[in-house]
Amino acid sequence: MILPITIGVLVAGGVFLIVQRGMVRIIFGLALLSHAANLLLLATGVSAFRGEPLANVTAVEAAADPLPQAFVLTAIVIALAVTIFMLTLAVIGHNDDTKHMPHTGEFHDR
Amino acid sequence: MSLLLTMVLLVVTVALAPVCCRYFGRDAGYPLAGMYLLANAAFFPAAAAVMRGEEYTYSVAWVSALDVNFALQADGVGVVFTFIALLIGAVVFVYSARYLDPGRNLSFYLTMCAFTLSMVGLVLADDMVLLFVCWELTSLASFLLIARSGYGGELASLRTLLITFLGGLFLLAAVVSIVAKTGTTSVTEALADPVWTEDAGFTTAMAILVLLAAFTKSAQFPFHPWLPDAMAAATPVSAYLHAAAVVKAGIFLLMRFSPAFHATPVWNYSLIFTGLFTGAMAAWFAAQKTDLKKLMAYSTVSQLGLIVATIGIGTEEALAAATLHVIAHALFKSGLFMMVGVIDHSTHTRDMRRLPQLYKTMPWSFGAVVLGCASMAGIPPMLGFVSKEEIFVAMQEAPGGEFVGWLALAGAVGGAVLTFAYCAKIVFGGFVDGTRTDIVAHEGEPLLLIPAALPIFVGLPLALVVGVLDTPVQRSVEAQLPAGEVEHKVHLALWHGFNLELLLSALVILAGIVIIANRRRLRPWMEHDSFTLDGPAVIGKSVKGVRVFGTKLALTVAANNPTRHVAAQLTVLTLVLIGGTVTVWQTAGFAPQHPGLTEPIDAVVLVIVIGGVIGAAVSDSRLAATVSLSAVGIAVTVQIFALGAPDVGLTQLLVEALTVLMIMLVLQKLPLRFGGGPRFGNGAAAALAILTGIGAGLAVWALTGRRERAPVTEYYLVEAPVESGGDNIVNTILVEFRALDTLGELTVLGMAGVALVALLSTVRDRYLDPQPSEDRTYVPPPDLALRAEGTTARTAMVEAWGNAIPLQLLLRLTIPLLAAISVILFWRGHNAPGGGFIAALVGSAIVALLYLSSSRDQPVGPPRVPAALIAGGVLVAIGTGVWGLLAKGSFLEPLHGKFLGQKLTSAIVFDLGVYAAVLGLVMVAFNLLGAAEGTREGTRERADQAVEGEIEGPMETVRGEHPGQEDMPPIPSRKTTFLASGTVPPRERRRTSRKSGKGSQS
Amino acid sequence: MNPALLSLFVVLPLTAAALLVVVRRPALDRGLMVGIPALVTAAAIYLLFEHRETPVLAHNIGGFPGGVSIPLVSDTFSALMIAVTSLTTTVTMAFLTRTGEDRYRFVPSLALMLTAGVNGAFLTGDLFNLFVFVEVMLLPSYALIAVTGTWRRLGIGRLFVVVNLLTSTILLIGVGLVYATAGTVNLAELVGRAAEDPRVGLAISVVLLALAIKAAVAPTHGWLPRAYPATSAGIMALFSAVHTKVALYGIYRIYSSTYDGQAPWAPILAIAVVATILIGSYSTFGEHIMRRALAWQMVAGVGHILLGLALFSEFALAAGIFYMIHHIVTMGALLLASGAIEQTYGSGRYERLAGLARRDKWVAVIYAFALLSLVGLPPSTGFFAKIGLLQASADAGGWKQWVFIATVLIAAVATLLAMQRLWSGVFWGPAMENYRPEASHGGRDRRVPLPRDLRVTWQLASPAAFLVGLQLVFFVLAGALIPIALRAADDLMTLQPYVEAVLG
Repeated sequence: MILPITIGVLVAGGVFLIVQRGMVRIIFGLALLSHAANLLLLATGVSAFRGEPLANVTAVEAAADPLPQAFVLTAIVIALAVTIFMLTLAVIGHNDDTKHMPHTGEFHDR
Repeated sequence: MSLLLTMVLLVVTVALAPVCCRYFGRDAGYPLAGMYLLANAAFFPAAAAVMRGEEYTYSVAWVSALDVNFALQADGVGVVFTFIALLIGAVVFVYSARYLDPGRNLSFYLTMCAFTLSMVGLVLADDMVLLFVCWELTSLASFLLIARSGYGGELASLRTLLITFLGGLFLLAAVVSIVAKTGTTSVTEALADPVWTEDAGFTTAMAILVLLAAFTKSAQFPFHPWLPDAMAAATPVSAYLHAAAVVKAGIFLLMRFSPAFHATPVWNYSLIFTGLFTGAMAAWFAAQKTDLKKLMAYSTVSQLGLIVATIGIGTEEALAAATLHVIAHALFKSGLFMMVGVIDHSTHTRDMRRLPQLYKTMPWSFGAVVLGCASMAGIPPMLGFVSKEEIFVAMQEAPGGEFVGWLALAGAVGGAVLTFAYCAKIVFGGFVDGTRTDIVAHEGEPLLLIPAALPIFVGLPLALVVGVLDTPVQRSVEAQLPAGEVEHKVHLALWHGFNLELLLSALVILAGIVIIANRRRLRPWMEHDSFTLDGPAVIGKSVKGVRVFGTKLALTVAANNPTRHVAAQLTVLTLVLIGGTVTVWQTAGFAPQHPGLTEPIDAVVLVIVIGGVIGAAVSDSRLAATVSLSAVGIAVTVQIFALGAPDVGLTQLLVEALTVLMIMLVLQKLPLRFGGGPRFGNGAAAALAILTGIGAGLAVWALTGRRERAPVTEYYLVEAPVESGGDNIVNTILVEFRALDTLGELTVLGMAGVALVALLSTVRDRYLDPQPSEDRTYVPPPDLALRAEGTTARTAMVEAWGNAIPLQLLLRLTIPLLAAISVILFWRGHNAPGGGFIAALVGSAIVALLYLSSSRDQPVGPPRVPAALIAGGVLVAIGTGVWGLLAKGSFLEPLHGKFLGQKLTSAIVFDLGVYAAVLGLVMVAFNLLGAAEGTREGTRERADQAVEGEIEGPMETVRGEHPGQEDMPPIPSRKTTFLASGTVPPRERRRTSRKSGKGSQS
Repeated sequence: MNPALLSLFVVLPLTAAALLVVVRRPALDRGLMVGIPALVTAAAIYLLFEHRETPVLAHNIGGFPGGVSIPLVSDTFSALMIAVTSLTTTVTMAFLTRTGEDRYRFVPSLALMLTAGVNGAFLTGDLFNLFVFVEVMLLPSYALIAVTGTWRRLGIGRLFVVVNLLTSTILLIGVGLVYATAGTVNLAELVGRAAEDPRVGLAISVVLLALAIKAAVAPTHGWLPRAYPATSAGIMALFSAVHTKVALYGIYRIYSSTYDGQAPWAPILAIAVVATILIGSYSTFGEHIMRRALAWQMVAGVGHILLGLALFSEFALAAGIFYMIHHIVTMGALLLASGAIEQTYGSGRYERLAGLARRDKWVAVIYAFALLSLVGLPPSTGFFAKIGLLQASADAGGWKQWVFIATVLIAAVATLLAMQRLWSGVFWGPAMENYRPEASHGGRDRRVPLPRDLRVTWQLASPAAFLVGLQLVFFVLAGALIPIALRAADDLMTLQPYVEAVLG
């Protein structure tokens, strides 16, 4: 019952930040969103089963669904990669305002 | 067969045109005209068969899937139009051979040949799609012919294309609807379909579409402006276009579909009304014009109007009259146009106000024009007279009772009078009333004059023996009415005895004579422009309107910053989530929730998350926001652990730490505070956020935790340990069951590093790390009152290296420890929480510490290592996969074995790849993001070093070409070495200085 | 063919990409970035022939039972898509080597990774794996869009990344919901599930929404015409050939297999399609830069392609697929031709260019034929593509018939007007005086007088020429091509072979 609320809160925060101007804020927003997505994925394996999916530790009856966990791992890693890339985009020209084009010293095409 | 041969010959003609033009120049007209006559001869058997009243068809499949065939069929209408197209075409070519300027004239002959081909294809087509193709090709051909006449023709040709294209679309709509309704693409079958009598609504709709298409082509009101526009084209083009080809295509279409629509009221009335109106209007315009060619153009519009109206009546008599007038018009109009060309040639003007008295100097031309005009005005004994009489007869049969008949007749007579008026104007204005004496005109040379006059002179004997046309006209009438509806035989004659029509003709001629008598008083009155609305202007206005609309439409999303686009997407998402959930709720409802979904810990997490999210959202300080963000991250990690996902939890924790480090590296280069909010204000943002949040929460609540375990879950929990021999099921899924996902993931991860290097090497050093003077966001460090020289406190402040020593000492201890942990995690991954990725993250902690522990932001590790690690990692992973493919027959299939009593799988090698890729990315990230302004190496330089190895200073070039590459091909465009020196061009310098000025003020 | 080899469609480009990171020899760069896609094309064409006997080839990666491991599935539809996209990719890569963009750091390697992701997305039969491969496709795109092109590329790069990352997150959420409701993400196991269980339907709808955003369907179309023109012509051609098409492929595949074409929200789809077509074609008229106008045409094209799905009959699907093929080739031709002009004269603005019809006759001819195809006039594939869509609409009958036919025709008028504006601006009018030569660092210098002898070189124009020739061939051979499209549509209608091949 509570997990959906947590996810909702994360999504709300993420959305609020994504529509802001500064790139860094947008990145934070996307980070929150991916938190939400990860929790959602984990919730999709029924969250009544919370045992660690380790064959030698947990009994099959109690074990949590391992598949969503694998999904989440993959998702986290991809998110990390893209976040680093976005941070680099944000820092070019020491200006992360998405309204201005960063300087590149080239002539503008007008 | 003969049909195919005709088409083939015409195709050959097109192919021949370039050759002829190359060798004969403008004389190419003669051989090409010969080809036309040849094609005509080839067509004869078909024509003869049709005259005998037989079917004559040829068909071969083209696109069987759409049931489109290359089907040809000759019938009465087709024969008439084919002869017109080919014979007039031949004459025009002979004429062109002298009319055109010496030279190759390739574009002219080529397009004309294509033109004739498509025209003949159109009139012989027996397949809806083929018919449409040819229809469009005629439009294109006319467009090209007008366009080739220099700048003047360009706009006109575009207008022409626009209008004819519009018509094409109407026809297309009709074609597809008819094919869909009748289920056949064959024209004859479709027209014979019973639907035309059964489904009145459909018939009406189709009738409207078809007649609109025809109106655009044959320049009927309100689509008439393009034809006078087409004047820009060379005279032979106009002659052909007006007499035989494009505009006649419209007439042809009406005749072709007349069997289906001849009894449909909307068809009859719109044709009759539009036709007569166009006829009168255009005749009036024609009478106003002083430019002979323009006059001719409007006269064509008017004559076509007459024909359209006649077809609209739809009785045998009428259709016969229409056919006859088509023939007559083709003859005299082509002739007259070419005569205008002759005059143009000898006087270099077409404006009758600037012409001398020509009838003395150009007697032959005079004669020809007089005959032509006589035929057009319907004076006996010309063919035009016969057809005019027939039309008068037809008009009385107009459907809808006596009254309509008389009205139509009156309209026709009125049109005839105006026609007579402008014919007189041509003759007298062009040859008699001329006042200029300075121009010495000379008779046109025979080779130019004869072909021009030929069609006109043909009209004279033909009128006397008009009986020979009985059969062709008869057949064409039969083709224009449903099978077996033709009772009477057509009988054409010059003399019908005394009757109403003769009386009317007499009246028309009488009126004409009156007009001629008073022409000196009438002309000035007519020629002052009474009617100001000008077609092209109207088109231009409407087009401009569309453009403004388009611009507005494009502007609605013309934003470079993501906000607007993202907002739209999130709105749609919210609608889908909330709307969807509610509807499902209403319709299907949800299964009961699985018991025990919630644990107390969840509530704790929720509280922290709420706090953190609010903090991250509202705080204007970048640092504060980062702290709250990491708080949220920790909370989420706790939740993950609570959900029984140790591997995920560990990963999340390490990734969180790494991300925060990266963010801190970036923040040192950015302003301390965030900029302004979104354009549409924070209120709207908050509203959107809350709604989306509700939607997401709702969807999760409604869709998750409401089913038993999936079979696949059971499989993993029960079978996986046995299958893979690993107890950590998640890890076995990652490296064995769904290794393909992991392969993609590690590629993304590794290549992100490569992407960073690529990205950074596109920007010049000075723009990556601007000097404080140029950096508008630069905040100067506070100048503190430091202690005196030599004191420890001062040293600590001024020379930072000392501060790093403790950490460096600590590292001596921790690095081996971390390394060991990393190795263990890696090794046990298959059986307990850990694995390549987590181990790699621990390993990258070493990288982080090394970076932090140095007093200056210097790169970690030798320059080219990261790239090697990344590529190596990916290659190793793929290698394992291919190994599985070769050894076990499936990509990424693990190989199991024993080693030192420890169960081993090839998956561990795969995991090694993961490890390397992660490490590589982390190193790249630290080295590139770590460089801060005022350090020895700039970001760009490090990006270069990551690829090229140790170099001094950033490279000259950007976008990463290798410095000394001689074997590269030259970039195929002008290159300048401007800016190579790296000096900022003046304009740029001014801007940057302005910027920095602003920065220092703010 | 042994289905296990399907993995090579991903492995080959990926290996090459990784290799080019460490080994950086210009010759090798160029050889691989053109050679690999060419190889893939050949393989895909071979597959097409293969599928005439065996309609579906499937392989479970890792050899685990069906439903557990990730299946790679190839049928006529996917093979056709791979063939056409990678053929266009090959030509585009050749173009890149001629503009010298292959010399930009790591561009060859990134481009190859892109193709790997695309092929994977076409072949995979697993929704989460689709997400992964979409990411594999996107990451290099983030870099490519920001590496090539004008001064705007970095700012636009931010837009592109943010929009696509958000979309990917939505896709991820959708996939999660699918697993939550259906307990599987394997497409073969999901066949018909959305139709019978509205909860699964809702989850699938979220997935389709994410794909629709990636495909730039109205009202979420705005990012595409902003982002794409900022990069270079070559890269834009690459994107237009693969990005939206992968999304559209996904929509076609998932919609028809999970919904059997009977989604409760089908009317909404119809409305969105109509809106996309009209917005795309009319906005084209508002632009005055070649590639911006073309970007809008891409939006319109997306609408046309989805028309087939909105009508959902075997013939309609085939028409949509054929339109997709036509659109890939034609767009490629137009973009590359525009690119050749820009590369030579340094600008794509109508008012900066003029009189090219007299200056570069052949480029004008190429462009003219491509435009014919775009507007749908014979002789061109566009003609049959349009006929097909109209025919399908007419067959549908009812309100759909008239609405869709009217939409397509009205859009055609707008497109014609827009293209007339482009044509008279770029190719007609008085000769131009000055141009912007290429700056030493890839940007453009200020305007200088135009030298007499400057022409669009043949090596720049030839890629576009090749594609135009290709679409002319398609026009004549439509009789042979449309049956393939029909078979592809049949794959989407009769799903039994697919399911059997995957789950065994």
